[in-house]
Amino acid sequence: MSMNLKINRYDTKKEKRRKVSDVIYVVITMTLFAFVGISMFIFPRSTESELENRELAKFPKFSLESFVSGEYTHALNTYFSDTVPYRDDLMVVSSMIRNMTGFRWNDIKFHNVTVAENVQTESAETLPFETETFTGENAADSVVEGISPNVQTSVPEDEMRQDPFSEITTAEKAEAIDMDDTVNITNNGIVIVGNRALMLYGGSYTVGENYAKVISEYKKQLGSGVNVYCMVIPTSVEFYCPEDAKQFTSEQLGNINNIYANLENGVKAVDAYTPLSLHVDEPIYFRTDHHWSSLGAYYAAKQFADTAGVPFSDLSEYDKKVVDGYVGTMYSYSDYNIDLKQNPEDFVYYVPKNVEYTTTYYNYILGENNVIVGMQEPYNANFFVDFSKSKSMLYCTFMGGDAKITHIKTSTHNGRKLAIFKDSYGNALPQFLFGSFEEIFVMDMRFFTYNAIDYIKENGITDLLFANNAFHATTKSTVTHYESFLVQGRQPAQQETTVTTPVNVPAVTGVPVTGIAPNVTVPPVTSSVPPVTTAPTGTAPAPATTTSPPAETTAPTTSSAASVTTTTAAPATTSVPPQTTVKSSSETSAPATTAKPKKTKPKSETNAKSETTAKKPAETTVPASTAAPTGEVIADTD
Amino acid sequence: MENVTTNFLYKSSERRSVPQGAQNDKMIFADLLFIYVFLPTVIMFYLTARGCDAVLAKQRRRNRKLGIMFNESPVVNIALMGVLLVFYVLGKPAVSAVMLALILLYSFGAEVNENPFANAVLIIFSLIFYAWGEPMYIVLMLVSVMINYVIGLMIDRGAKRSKPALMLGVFLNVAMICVFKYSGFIAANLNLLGLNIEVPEISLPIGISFYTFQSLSYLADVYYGKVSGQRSMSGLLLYISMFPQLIAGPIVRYTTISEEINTRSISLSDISEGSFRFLVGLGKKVILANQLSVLSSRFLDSDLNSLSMAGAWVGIIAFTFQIYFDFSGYSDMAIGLGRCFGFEFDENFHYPYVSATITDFWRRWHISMGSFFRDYVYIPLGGNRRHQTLNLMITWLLTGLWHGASWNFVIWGLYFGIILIIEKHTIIKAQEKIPKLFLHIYSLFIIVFGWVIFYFEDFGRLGGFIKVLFGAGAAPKWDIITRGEITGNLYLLILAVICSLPVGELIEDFYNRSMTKGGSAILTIGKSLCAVTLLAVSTLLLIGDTNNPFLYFRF
Repeated sequence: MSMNLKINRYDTKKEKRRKVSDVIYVVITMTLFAFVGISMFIFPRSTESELENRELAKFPKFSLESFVSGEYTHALNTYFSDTVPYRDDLMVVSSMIRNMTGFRWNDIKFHNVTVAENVQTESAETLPFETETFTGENAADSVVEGISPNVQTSVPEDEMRQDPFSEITTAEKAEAIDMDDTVNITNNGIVIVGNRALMLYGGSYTVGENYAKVISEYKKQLGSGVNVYCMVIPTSVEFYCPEDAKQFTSEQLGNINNIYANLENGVKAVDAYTPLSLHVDEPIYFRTDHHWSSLGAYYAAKQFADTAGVPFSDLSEYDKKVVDGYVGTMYSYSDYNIDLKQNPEDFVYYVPKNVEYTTTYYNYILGENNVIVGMQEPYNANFFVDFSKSKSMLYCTFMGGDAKITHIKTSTHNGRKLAIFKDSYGNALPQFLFGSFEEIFVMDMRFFTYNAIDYIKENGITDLLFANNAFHATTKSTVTHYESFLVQGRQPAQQETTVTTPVNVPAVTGVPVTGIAPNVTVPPVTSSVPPVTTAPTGTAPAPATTTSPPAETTAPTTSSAASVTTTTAAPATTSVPPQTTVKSSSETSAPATTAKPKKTKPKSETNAKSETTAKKPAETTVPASTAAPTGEVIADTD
Repeated sequence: MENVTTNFLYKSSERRSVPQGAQNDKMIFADLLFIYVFLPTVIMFYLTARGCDAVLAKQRRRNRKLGIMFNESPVVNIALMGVLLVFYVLGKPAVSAVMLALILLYSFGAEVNENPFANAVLIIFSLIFYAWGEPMYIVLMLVSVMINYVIGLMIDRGAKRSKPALMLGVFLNVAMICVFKYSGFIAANLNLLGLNIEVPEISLPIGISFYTFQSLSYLADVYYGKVSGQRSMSGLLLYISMFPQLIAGPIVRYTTISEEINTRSISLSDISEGSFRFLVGLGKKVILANQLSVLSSRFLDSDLNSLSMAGAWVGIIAFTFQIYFDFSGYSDMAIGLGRCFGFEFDENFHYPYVSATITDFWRRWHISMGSFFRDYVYIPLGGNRRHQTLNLMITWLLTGLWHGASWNFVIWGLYFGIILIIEKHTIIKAQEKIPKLFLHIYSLFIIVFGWVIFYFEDFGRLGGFIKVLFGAGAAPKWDIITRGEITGNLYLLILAVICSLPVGELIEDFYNRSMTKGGSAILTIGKSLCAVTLLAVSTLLLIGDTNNPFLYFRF
């Protein structure tokens, strides 16, 4: 160093010793400093954080404006600290250090728990009229291109005063989707007991009543042909909350019962609470994630099957799959509580053995703030998606996440078709019902762009299940979503749309299983299809007859839903190689026959056989890892 | 999640949701980019520059001609700076850079400047540091430097010091700080009086309070004849802009470093002690203050209706420690860095929380600011010679206002002014007779309560919080969350208490004594281990840090 070292004339032995000491100290410190500094540059910078489930900051692009405003330099700072090499590993060390600030009393740690009293205080004005603050800015974002063009104009003037199922505008919908539901959930705080994290619950009785009301309205509009069920799933805090923390959380049983008590028009309550409460010693909830486990869903599904009067497969009829090392969402929600990280759990899921099924995905494309901007081409893939590589997202094993409609066709034949409106809790349910229903449609309450009533009728659904956890069942945005599904996508004035649009949809590009794919085309047509009540028969049967066997041509007239399905199925079959047309055409008959299940029963059984043979290769040729659209990032694991 | 930091840090408009660890628009010390990119770069350039300086000095000793080539002419300096500013504002930074290079080169002419290279490096990097995040406000600082350069020389004209020039300088500096720091506050208050003025939206240029005060002290010291005016533009620029003390103090007096600008040596012990001091400051900020900020904001920013009395006390005590470690940590880092670059700044904090009286406290807390107000406000007003009480009140009103353009800071200042006046007539006279323990408890209570006033800008919340603090809140006095937070942060709080006591001083004394006796090997290893731990832990905590508040936006 070219420093002007102070020359001390009285350079005694002591001074020398001191100098040596200083040299050693400076060398050691500077070595570490240089080592860390150089490491920051020679190791590759992190690009995404699995811990936080997000992409890390990008190196900013330089522009004069961004520099002058300070944005550029700010982004540089962000980039540098956000993308430190081995960030996630270092974050774990960092949270270990943070965890050393003290100890837990009674093994409990409160995270962001600030509300001192039990809250059931959502304001009384729960009717969805006062959300005018959400401006057109959001509305513009929310208009889904080509899917649900003009929702706001669809509500006739006289309906506007009707309570509470009118006044749903796209702006509101945007708000609702926009709103991060996890924020909703976490804002009551988190309690960590031992190595189990619990989200505290603050539900509103009034909102719960509105939730019951909106479900009852579905039943009213669907009529007696469709059974409607309401299952409110308690969350883990209800069963595992320590005494000390009870004062900070609301009791869910009362809320759930209140919802059930308010169900009208013959909506059936599914008591998931009791079976769950009987198995609290088993891992029915995750400790490190805010969801329930497959096992919990199994008990609830059983209860549902009992209520619905459908057969139910015992757990022994499933292959149990275990992925270890699961640390779920609560780790990041709790600001990286190290006790969760150091105590991972097993992620268990059950794959049905004795039933054949085909899963078709209609994935929504999401823009910023989870606003829907479009829909992918539908494709067939495994119901279970392999997430064993990114363990923090293992809950996405079920269908790969939320932002989609999933259509499952099973080898079961009993004339029952189920639709599930759900939050992420519902994702763990369908696989336990493959032996109970012919078809299952899984729709997420935050990502659905059709008119729910039309959709259900068109697809010949016989059973509609609302499966929400207790948080969502008592959250205003949930009610808003379900309200909007009732009115969106209806456009009586615009009938110029024809059946031509679906043609590009059912092409089933990229999926090598065309032979079994015709039904793929069923759901996404609603917006382009005239309202069901008007005249579907006029347009529908014509193309259907071209490919379907003559026996089936009578079917479309029996129900509008069936007619639509056959219509859309037609283009699909044309794209199919000739040798498979027989199978596919026999399959197109399947939805049609459901319209009158009893009469055609023997026939449908034969159909089922041909279907299963056709499906076998499909199921096996699509291994989970390749079929998993991992590129399609599931933004919401909630 | 934890995005809400203590509420006086940001105006609500300034809050934005950014990825974690990126709440700082400014280049600050407790930031990975600063520590691992900026600092090493400066150090490398600085070492090179010192080498160049040494070569230059050698050449000068050999060759007399290289001695005084020319003295800086103020006119040239002003012209260069003027051109620099004009082109910067016009959006031609390249021309400005050339002008800056000329200004710096111009200082090479005089022999008195023994380290023109090192100074140039420091100035350039200080300007980069200041421009980081707010490139436009650098104009303001350069204008300030130019004005003070001119005024300084105007005051310093031979034996007759010019009072009008001083008055002009004070006026310009005060006007600048008023416009950029207080105009919104003044306008808002005039509107309350019935006037209808548009409240200007000027965002506070960071560090303006520090550098205007440094300028004022420079002008005053020149006027008092303690020091002569700086003829070198780059010399004054270095004093005002030097990055270690630029944005968070301490307020370095010109007299403290006026000689070091031209002549300074850096010994091995400067490096050793300076770097250690920096790491201690970094640890105070990142390990203690940032963690304590989580604890304090959990209570202080919570809903007052549900805040328990115990929670209120835990929150404000946590804040008491937080602000001390944050502020003194920054001062330590500044002093340490200054030392490494060859400057000796005065101490800024001296274990303020062990004070027996408030009078004592203000001798130990933010010493550079307290002494500024004493020397340049209180004493010029007449000090204790005439209307002492009035002088004290004015001084403390301004002290309060300096901390932020808001009434709560004014009240906070006056609160201390009143207590100091009362102390003067009571406790100070009888200090010997009162038990020490009692005095400590008294002082701590006054200090902690002072932070309550300091923290809450909103009077509604201030009143509500005080109610809770004294048991008149709506929530129970004790709750489980508070219990959980106390035990969950117990070790942190104990560490905070220990670090507030003069333990560091004891260790330093012990180190210095033992070093001369032997056992130096153990001491060396101990010191190295400490440094390494501080650096490693601070770095780890800065990765993905959600709580890294910068407390001095208001100053």
